[in-house]
Amino acid sequence: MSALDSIAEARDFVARFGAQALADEALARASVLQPALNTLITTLPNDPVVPDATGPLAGIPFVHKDLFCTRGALTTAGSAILSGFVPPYDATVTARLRQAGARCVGKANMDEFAMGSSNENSAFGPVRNPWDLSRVPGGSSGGSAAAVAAGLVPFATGSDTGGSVRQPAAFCGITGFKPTYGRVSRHGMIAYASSLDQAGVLARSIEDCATVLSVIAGPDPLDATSVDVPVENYQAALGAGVAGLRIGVVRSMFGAGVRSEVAVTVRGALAELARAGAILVDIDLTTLAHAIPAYYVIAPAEASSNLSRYDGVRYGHRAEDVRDLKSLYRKSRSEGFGIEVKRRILGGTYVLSSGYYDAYYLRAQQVRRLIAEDFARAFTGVDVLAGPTTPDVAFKLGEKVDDPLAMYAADINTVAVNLAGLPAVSLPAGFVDGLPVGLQLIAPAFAESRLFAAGQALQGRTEFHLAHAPEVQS
Amino acid sequence: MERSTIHKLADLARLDLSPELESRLADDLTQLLGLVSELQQVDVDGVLPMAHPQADRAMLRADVVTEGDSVDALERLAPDMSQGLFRVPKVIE
Repeated sequence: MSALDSIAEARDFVARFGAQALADEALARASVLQPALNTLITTLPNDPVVPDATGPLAGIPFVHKDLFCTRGALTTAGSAILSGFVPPYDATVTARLRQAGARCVGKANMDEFAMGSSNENSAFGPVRNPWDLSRVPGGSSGGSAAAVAAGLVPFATGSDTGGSVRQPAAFCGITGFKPTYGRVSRHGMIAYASSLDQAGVLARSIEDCATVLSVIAGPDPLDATSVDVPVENYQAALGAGVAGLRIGVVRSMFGAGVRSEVAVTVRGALAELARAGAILVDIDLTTLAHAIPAYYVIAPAEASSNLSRYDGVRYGHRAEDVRDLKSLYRKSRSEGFGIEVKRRILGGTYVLSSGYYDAYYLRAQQVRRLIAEDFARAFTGVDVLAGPTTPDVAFKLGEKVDDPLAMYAADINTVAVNLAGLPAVSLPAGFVDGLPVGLQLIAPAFAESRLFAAGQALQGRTEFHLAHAPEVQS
Repeated sequence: MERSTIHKLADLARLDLSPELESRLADDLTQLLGLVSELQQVDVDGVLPMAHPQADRAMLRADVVTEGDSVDALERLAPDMSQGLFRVPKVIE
């Protein structure tokens, strides 16, 4: 183990050598690996820390997905349209991490505005997977996942709108935790689809996810969609065990399109939980078949509305040589946005336009309720739901970039969770062809504790989360 | 998707598209609409639309000023600003 592999190791190092020494270690490793992995958009050698912090993350270095606003430090959301954008304020997640003593050493590369599942949509170039440099790390939190998997930092932040924390965690062999919608403040987190976006945590172990979520969770007066429900004691939950825990194994999540070796690997991890005392029950959620279509109406609709704010007037990129106000808007936006963002803005504009609103947007929202109700019904009989996080292991760079529908289809097991606003985690479950596979567990709203208990039970019996990526061994 | 439709969408979304990009995105959108058209098969009679997972728990805060005047900070971010005002090309002839 290195000092950058876990929060406990990092704490130990800080106690002996000081926080600056550990930050320097992280920055040195980031600099060595940057040419191969491209995980960071900005490095922060001198990010301010709370002096004499004694919080749970005192002196612990981390990488921050580049859509969390950081006062005084460039924040791009992976887009050229935010070139030069240095926020005058901190996101609530940033502020809470700082308050707990954490030390931000860099802003992580990501798919532009979090739109993507491969990190190939970044204006700053693709991130590569530390397990195989010819493969994608997943997205949109690809830089965050690769940074943790490569041992740059013990944890990273991410955001999850349709799987953007869980899928890259699965592809990079680490743990990715997506809390309940409303559990973590979205204030200062650059918006993609506001009713789906939620901040999350990526780390090797579920234990470290618990430590970080305990710091960032809780209501925030600056975000009216954060929810005033008491934050459970996640540290205590880690030790709760899974004896008698009923796990609903969702049949369709192992169905068509899921590679058989991936299904077998995930079932192996579930068998491990059964040996620890969990009860496995097969379960059907028939509405999940509609999750991809509903998501790819709702998310673009919200994106087209959210991204209308980028107009070249108040901040970010502004085009030169324009005739009038409208051409200022058009030229600035066309130069600043990448193709996937334009694709989703146009799709969203279509489904919200007069004559199509009822047939697409309204209907997708009705289907969304059916999906949420289906989950609620399932949770009357089981405590958590399980399936593979992704249908296959990490794919090759360039493999799906010209086929957006194939890219969207791979989100099949993750998007329903966002539509219903539920908490979920991707846990390292084993390997296929030497590449990591993730087990996804889903809990009812605000029942994060169940995921921590189950995750810790698995990681107490397996060592998949401790495996090191071969491409970055030092 | 008709050329005129993608043209109108681009105008509504304030985007300039080259002819090549316009044709590529028209194909992509046609495929996307094919994908989402299966929603038409779902029986949604009497189902209330769900806009938001926690719509009944929205938190309101007191209507008081919490941040002071931040014109200076915003001015530093703006591509073109003077005397506290954003400058844009002339709107009225």
